[in-house]
Amino acid sequence: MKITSYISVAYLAIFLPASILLYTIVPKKARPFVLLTASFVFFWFISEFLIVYLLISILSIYLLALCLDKLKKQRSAALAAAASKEEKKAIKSKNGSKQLAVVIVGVLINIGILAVLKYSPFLFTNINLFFRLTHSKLAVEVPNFLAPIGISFYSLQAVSYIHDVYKEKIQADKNIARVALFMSFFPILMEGPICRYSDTAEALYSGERLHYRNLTFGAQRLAFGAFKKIVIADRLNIIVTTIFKDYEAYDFDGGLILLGAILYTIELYMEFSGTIDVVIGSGEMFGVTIPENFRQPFFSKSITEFWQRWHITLGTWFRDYIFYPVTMSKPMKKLTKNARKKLGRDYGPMPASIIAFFCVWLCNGLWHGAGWEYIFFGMYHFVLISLGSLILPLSNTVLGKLKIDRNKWPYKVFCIVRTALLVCIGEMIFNSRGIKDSLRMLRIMFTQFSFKSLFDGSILSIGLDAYDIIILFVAIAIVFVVGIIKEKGKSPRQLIAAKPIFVRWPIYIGLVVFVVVFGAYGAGYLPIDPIYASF
Amino acid sequence: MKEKISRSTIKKIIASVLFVVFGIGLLGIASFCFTPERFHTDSVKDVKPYGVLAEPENTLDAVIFGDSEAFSAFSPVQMWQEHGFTSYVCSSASQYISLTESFVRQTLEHQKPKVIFLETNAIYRKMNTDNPTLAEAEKIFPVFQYHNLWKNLDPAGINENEDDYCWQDDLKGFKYIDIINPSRNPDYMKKTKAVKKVPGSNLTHVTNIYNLCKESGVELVLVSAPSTINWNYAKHNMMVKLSKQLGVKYIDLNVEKLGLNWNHDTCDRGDHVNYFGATKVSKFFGDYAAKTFSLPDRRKDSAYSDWNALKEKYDDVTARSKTK
Repeated sequence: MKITSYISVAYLAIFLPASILLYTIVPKKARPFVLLTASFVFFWFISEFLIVYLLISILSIYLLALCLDKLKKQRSAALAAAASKEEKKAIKSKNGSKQLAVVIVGVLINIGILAVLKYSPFLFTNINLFFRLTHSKLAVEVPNFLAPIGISFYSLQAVSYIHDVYKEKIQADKNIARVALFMSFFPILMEGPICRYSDTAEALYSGERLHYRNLTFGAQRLAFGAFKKIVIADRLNIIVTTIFKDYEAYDFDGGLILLGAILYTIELYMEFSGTIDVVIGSGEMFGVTIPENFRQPFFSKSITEFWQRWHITLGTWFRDYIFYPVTMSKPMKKLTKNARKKLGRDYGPMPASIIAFFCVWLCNGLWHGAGWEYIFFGMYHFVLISLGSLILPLSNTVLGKLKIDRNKWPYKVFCIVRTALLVCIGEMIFNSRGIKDSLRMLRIMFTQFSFKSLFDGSILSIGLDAYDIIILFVAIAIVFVVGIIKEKGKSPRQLIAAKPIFVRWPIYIGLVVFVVVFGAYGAGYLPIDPIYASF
Repeated sequence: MKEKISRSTIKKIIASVLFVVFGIGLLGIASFCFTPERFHTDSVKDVKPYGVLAEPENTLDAVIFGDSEAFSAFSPVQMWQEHGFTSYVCSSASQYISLTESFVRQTLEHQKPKVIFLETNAIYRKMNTDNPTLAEAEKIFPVFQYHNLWKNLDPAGINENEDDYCWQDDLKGFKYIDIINPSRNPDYMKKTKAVKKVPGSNLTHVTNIYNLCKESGVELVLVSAPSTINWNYAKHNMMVKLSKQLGVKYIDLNVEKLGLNWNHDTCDRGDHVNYFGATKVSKFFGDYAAKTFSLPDRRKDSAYSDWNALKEKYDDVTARSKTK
């Protein structure tokens, strides 16, 4: 069996029901092992023998965390026995260095595997490019490694586990099965979210029995995820592929390129958040709360807020394991101290923050892919966020003088539209075929902007007909309404569950029939692979 | 208390069963509505391959199956005009070989062509568990296969005779594309002894197609359409091997002299040929098919006058190419 996506017949109709059935019929003590076995089998289905990399990661963090635990106990014992302050200081320093060395080994193993498998071809290609540019006859062979699907997700989980044990946020787990389950729980393997040990490990290993409510609520979330992916994302893929692949051949104007950027952003959101709905719904069925990865990102009023609502677990990972360690490092603290004296309180912390932002966005870009376009994508957001921070005091002053109230709806709408447009341009860079292509598309967008092709019927000649466009409008409107309900702090599923059966059931069955009838699958539609699984 | 819990459990089980029954019932109703027999309309854009099912019984001399490589490269109307045999391209974008098998089976229920051409690119398309599973589901609930016909749910367009497929394609499955987007690797057929294996269970489906043709007394021929992106010599070698194993003919248009100019005759950098390339491919292929399989010239046969009438429509559609 080969599983290529969570939103597939193989997963939704075979693998998940079989896992639920097995989980139900075995005794409580055996349930975590059913989940673990299912997870390893799932990994085999998606990446076959590359499972060995996952096993190395699990074993490494399990052993290194135990090593950290041992060092911490040794330190406590030695400190208790120490007589003088100097002696205690020496013990802390020596033990601290050993602990740090263990953490570094853990990071090197896990990020090292990721770097070699994912980034070495990019690095070697660029080395060869450098040789060519310098007219050197030297050349290195570009390796071609196979990387397991989901390595970018579980490697970050591995680092977070080691780091959290080091920082004593969690205890080292003596149970390797629980660590393995935390790393490999099958719903999160392909596209995350990036879970922390404290979020999921206990619930995964508890072997709680299945509950009717969890099963039904989980299934509803699964259906909604499939709706987003099959009805919206897969349908948009037709027009988006044409615009991005053939924009030169069709001689599109800037208006259609901008439309392509907007539609790709919607496709990406529907595909990724739809998959995450299936992931969270699957977890919910087993009684495991998987952290949310999206919180209505298109209601954001700034780029910073957008990244707090989009791929949340990646953002918080970068915040906790890159941004904070960089800003809290000794050189940065010193820089902030000096900058405060010269630049004042408002601008003083900015140099250190901007350096930390640079590290975060370089890593963010590279995490998405080994290519200059991804680095460009990261730098684009770095510049936007840094500029946002730099001009905030100035914009506050200007808005004050113009008597524009930040809390009034016209200004909020302006901010939301501005942020969405900036995000779409970023995603256009992200989806281009390389840095040259993204610059070419940006040039056309700004120098040949026109609404002509949006209204002269060309839009209907590139893959979608009027019927498809109507379905897209209806489906996106449904997702938008659900978003508004959630934004108001209410749960759409609970609201529906509170309705009588003759209202509830037509909604549930209607959703499934909608996906079956209006889904973009079968003859004439190109099936798309999960976009984020390739990261 | 215990009794209460068990009652509530029974209630939940009954509710779940009823829910599933309602769901299945609705899928059944949708399947009853969404079958291609029920529509006679000319706007079924995404379901060109189904048009083969609407061709009058036993009127096709050749049928070409495959994915987008097939509908881009072969023009049945041009081949009719030049040689007078009838053909249809039953292909859809990214078609899986399992779906091709299903189309071959359905076609052979209505047609007895002299030859069936299987374009080989679909043979290399990797399938996952979904394809055969969905194919099985389609047999029970045809809505999974024909759901896209919702675009034509016009009560006035519903066919009264449920057994007849009505919608016919004027281009007979060919897709007209006049975009020019040059190839970046025109020298793609570099000789090698390497053999590119066919993935997974795809060979089983090819064998099934071969058996279906054999049972119907139809000759099966493998054909590779020109593509600088999808085709190479290692795949060519595999198809030579496969054709010998099956005992069928194989023609690779990537190694034939068609006069293709990859700077002009492709719409997407060599992935597919455009109308200009298709004209050259169809000229060569029409010659080959007519001569090799002695396909009849029916241009003067009044029973096929509909085919002669297609010329005007074909010229209308392809008129735009004259400005390029």
